[in-house]
Amino acid sequence: MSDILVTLSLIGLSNGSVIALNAIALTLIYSAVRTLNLAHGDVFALSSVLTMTILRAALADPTVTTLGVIGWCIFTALATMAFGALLSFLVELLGFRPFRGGSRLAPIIATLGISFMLYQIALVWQKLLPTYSSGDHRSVPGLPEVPVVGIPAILPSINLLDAIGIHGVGSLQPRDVVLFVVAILVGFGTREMLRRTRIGRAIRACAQDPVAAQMVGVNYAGTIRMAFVIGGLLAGIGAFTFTLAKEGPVGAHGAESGLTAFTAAILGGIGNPLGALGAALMLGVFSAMTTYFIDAQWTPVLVFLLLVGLLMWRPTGLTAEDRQNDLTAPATEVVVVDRRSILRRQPKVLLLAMLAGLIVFPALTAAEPYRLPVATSFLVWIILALALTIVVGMSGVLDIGFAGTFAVGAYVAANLTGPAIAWREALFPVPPDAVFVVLASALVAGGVGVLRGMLTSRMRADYLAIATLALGLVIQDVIKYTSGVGGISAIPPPRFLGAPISSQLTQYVILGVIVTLVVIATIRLQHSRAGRALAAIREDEYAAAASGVNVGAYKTSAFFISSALAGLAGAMYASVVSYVDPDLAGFHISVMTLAMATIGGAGSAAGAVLGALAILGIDRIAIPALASSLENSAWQGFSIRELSYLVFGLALYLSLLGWRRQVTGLAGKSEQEPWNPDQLLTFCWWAEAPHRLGLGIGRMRVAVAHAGTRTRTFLDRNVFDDGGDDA
Amino acid sequence: MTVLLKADHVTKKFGGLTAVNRVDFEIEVGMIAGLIGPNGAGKTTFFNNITGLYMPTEGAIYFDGQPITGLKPHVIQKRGISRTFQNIRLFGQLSALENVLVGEHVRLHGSIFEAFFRPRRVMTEEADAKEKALKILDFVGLGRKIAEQAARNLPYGSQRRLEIARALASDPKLLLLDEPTAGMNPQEKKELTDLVKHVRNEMGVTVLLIEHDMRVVMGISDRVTVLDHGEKIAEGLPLEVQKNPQVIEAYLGTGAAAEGA
Repeated sequence: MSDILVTLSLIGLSNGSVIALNAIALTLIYSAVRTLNLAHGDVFALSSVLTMTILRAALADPTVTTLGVIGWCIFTALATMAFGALLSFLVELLGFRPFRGGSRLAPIIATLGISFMLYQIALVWQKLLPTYSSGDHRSVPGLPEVPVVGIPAILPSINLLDAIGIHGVGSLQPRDVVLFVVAILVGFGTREMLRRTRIGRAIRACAQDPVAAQMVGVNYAGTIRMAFVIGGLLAGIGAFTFTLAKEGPVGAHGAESGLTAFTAAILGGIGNPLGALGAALMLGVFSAMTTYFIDAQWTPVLVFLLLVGLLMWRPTGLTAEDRQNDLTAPATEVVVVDRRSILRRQPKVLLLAMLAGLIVFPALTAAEPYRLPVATSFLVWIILALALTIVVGMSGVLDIGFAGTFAVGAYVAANLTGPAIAWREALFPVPPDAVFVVLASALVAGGVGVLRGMLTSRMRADYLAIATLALGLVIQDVIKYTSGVGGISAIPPPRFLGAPISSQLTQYVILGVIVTLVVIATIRLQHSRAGRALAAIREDEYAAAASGVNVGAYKTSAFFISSALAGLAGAMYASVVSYVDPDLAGFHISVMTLAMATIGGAGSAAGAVLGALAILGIDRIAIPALASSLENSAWQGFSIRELSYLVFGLALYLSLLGWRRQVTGLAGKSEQEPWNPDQLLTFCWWAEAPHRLGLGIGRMRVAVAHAGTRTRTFLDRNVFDDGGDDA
Repeated sequence: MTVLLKADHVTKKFGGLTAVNRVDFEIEVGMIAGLIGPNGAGKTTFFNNITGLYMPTEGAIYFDGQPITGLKPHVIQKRGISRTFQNIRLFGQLSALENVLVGEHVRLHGSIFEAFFRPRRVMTEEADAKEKALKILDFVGLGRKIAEQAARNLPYGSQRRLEIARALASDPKLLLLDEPTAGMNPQEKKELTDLVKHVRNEMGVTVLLIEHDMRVVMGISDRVTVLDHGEKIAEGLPLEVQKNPQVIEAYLGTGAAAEGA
């Protein structure tokens, strides 16, 4: 028994080191900007692809010497660090700087979008790498190609425990030692950086109190930037070590590994690198234990539930400073509502346009009947977008795990009607009526939504977003492990009053009616007492309560209604598409829906309908059309059909950027002042750049001197340069 | 006169800091009462205890003879206590009219499910509510023209008035005003003071206000209570309080300390 504990601890420490490499940088960035950087995991992952690319190319040459390998490793490590720093700098530039001083939700949405784009880049990049190299195949003599996976092993494969004479308790490879040592070094190095260096003190000052830090001369914008660059350097170190040790890049979507790392960062106390290191190692060992004693499948579920629990424990802020500030600051955390659009002010215009479109479409495509099911599936997504609008737009609750309830609805329907499901066939020999199926799906999904609402309703807005993300992944895992990864297929068409509805046109008409009803309901809700109460909660939760709105009850109702609608959409999906799988609860469905709900200006039925049509139009029509037109061109072999992640990520980011003035305006800044002085300076700097490059040496010297003065001023203005170690 | 609000030994501590210390306080129906004190005296904290944002560490609060200590903010507001905020907290993206309609929330009955089916009862109630909201906008001097403007686009003074309109919309028995004239010029202050008098005289609402401007407080208050370092140091008619040596010391004392720092 104790042997197995030792073995598990060794595995756990190795895995925990990987978590730590992520968590230490995350905790540093969190303490600078006071919210989670969802793109960090993808900076890590993309950097690891760079490591793989360089090392694979360098080591493909069989004549390379040991010294050469070491040289290449050093070069790759430095290159990866620089690359990570650059990526992280860009994340700050695009995801945080434009929204500074605004809602805390803005960077969450922005980094979510960026995370998707980075993930897509990593996927495409890996696809573009050659999968075969020339040379004699090992097991197929005469075949002139060798398949390439990951990178060649650089670290030797020896069981160090055997080497020092301990047998039978498992294996300790050099790679585990390397990971562990690097994690320890990064942890202590970051702590020393924060404690002893000028920039470290500036970061800590900004974390404690941004206003006071600026008052005493700390360059806030520069400090935040530096925190990201250092975080990126750490990501580069981590990515290089990871790739070296695992002989391949990070394969998964970075947001998931980011959430695990964030759990460790919270456990260790935000802003404390050694805490993050220790917590990550503990989390690694804990995961190894649950994997062995319970089941590998349930480990992520437990970790994410732990994260939700931690956020419930500190719902208003993880650091003491945050909690104090939140008592007095208005809690406005809002997604923008478009007041100008005619469709919002005149909902009847939307309704008429929609009805016209619904009626005209089948007539237009009568010659191409295969288009009708596509349109029917579009209607399902529109319902889902409308459902999310009630939560995100009307109530101002950023739900980024919304696909979970959709999948729950789909699975309830699939289980009630699908073939070869033993318990159902025992209960209902004939699949039950469509009305019953839809109601059951909506109720179960609504129940799940209320449960999610109860867990998260007291959290501040950005934590709530993170918690919903984690809970969405939990739902996906639970579905996967209870119902099978393969999903349920061959679901028969819905039965209404005993007869199956198998005509595609009938399905289309029924869904069209339902969509119309949902649009009417959404508009009516918006213009009712309840809709006003939800909007008031969105704008200022405490002022709403002080005006007599029962905040908890209304939030719960909003969660129920929107989740029930999502469940309804799920049930429709299951019967229209006749196939469901756990990916329906996936992150990309959540983000796609979120992009639909926000791109048209959140909070209005019109915005959701148009947003859904725009996203679906690009993803399901424009891109496939482009792909087939490129098929016979020089681009052959590179499929752009799978660019969904890029589309969703970009759409989400651009929709946020488009609404930026309003998003940042909400924090009390005047709307007439979209640029803050710092942004203006940055802008001037960039605008000047070509000019500066084009001039001669004299001008260059001036520029260099100017930069020198700027740096000097920055250093001089730091009041923390007396070098004292704080007690 | 009947006592409308009674605070009994109310204490609020934040960790080691005692923000409000054993304050006894009473306000009678139909009064305009002033609550003054230097910065950090605990005035707003006292408000937050009454309206349920904070739970008093010790002591009890009674409203209309009923204990309201520890009730949730929306329940307390339903009993008849409305408030405004020191730093204006309107629903920025909603129109002025919608802000007042949210204020009417507790008087209305349409549920979230009735929103879909729109029974006649709810529709007439909504129409009446809208008419009443417009009347309140008139009453506070904003007029009906700004009804459709987003609250955050209104000028500062109008936002203050809109907050009062929202607070009045629920037909409260007691209105708590937290520094209603902060940041206004003398003319605006006078207009707002007149509005507060109107609220009491015409709508019969009892008013408790926190105010920094002595002239404003002394001009409209029937009774003044002075807090300093969380403790009640004086109470009485405005003229009495003005002459109270402890009050003078509290104000001048902090002034001297600020100069020394």
